[in-house]
Amino acid sequence: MNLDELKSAWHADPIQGVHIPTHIKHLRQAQHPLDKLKRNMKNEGYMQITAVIFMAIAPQLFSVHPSTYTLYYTSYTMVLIISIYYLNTFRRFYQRVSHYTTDTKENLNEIYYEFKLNIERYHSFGFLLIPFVLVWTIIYSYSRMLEQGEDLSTIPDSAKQSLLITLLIASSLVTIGIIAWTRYFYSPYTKQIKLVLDELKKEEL
Amino acid sequence: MEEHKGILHKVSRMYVDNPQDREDLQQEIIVQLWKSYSKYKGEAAFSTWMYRVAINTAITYFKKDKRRSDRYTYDTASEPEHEQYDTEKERQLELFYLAVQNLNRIEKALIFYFMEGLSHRDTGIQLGISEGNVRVKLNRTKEKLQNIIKEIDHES
Repeated sequence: MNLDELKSAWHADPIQGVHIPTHIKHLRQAQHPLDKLKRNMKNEGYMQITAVIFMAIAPQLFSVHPSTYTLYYTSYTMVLIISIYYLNTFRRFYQRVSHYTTDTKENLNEIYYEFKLNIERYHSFGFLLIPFVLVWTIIYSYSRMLEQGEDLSTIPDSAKQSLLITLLIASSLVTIGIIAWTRYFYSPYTKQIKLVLDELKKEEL
Repeated sequence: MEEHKGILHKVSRMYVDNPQDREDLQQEIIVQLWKSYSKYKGEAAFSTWMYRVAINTAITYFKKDKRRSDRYTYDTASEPEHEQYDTEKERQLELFYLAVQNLNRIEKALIFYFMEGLSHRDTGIQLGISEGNVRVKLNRTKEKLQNIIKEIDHES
């Protein structure tokens, strides 16, 4: 087949089934993976704000003993600072105009590294929450013990060891869970993009 | 956009084999064109700018649904949409589109720009690679495409 001769048929090919909406409101929501990632992040941002507000009043809601307030609010302040930093980073990423008008290699590079960067952000933010969850678990358990007239000195050593092992296992599971979650939802896409990018970068000279 | 909607038709036909996914890709390209329009400064022809957005969207638009692949083997390919052709050229074009489905995403872009009549230099600018690299890749892709076409033609 002579491709040069086929060009006339290519240009003359009748256009079928292309419907261009006449108004922006008739456009559907973008389904591109990058747009979906941004939408997910926006929703997660709202959830994070709600969680941070909820965490501020959690000790009162769950009747945590006032003697643990200093410890709780110290760790809460750290979580608050980290959350503000992350939310701000997410906001900047979300607002950053990411169009598809650059050349293809640059476009693929941008999408690939934005995805990788955000996967790492998810990881680090999730990992940073683990110490706070541990502090909360200890404070909450300690408050319940105080209610029953006990304290840390009355717990047998074997129970303390079991508690520590449980906390370690729980922390490990959360860490694995966060990694598995990002691998399931985002890694397949980054792998596909990387394959296309490698194909484009491959020098054939 | 209306004037250049042939670009949407051709890009979607090259990148997706079934009509439903083709419609999806066309709509996605339109959305991305609307979103990117503020970036169009009028430095290049509108069609050149539209090529870029359309190809970049098609290349990076992976669907999660594995049941519908953007690539399929011609062993399992369905018959072309039109069984009767007005001309030999139309038959060849159907065959061409069928064969193109077996190229990778970059090869499809190279063939698209070639068919649209872009020079090696302009194709290189669109893809972000050197003119020499375009020449080599395009020659290899054309050779690969011809082999696929021969194989399909031989089987049918």
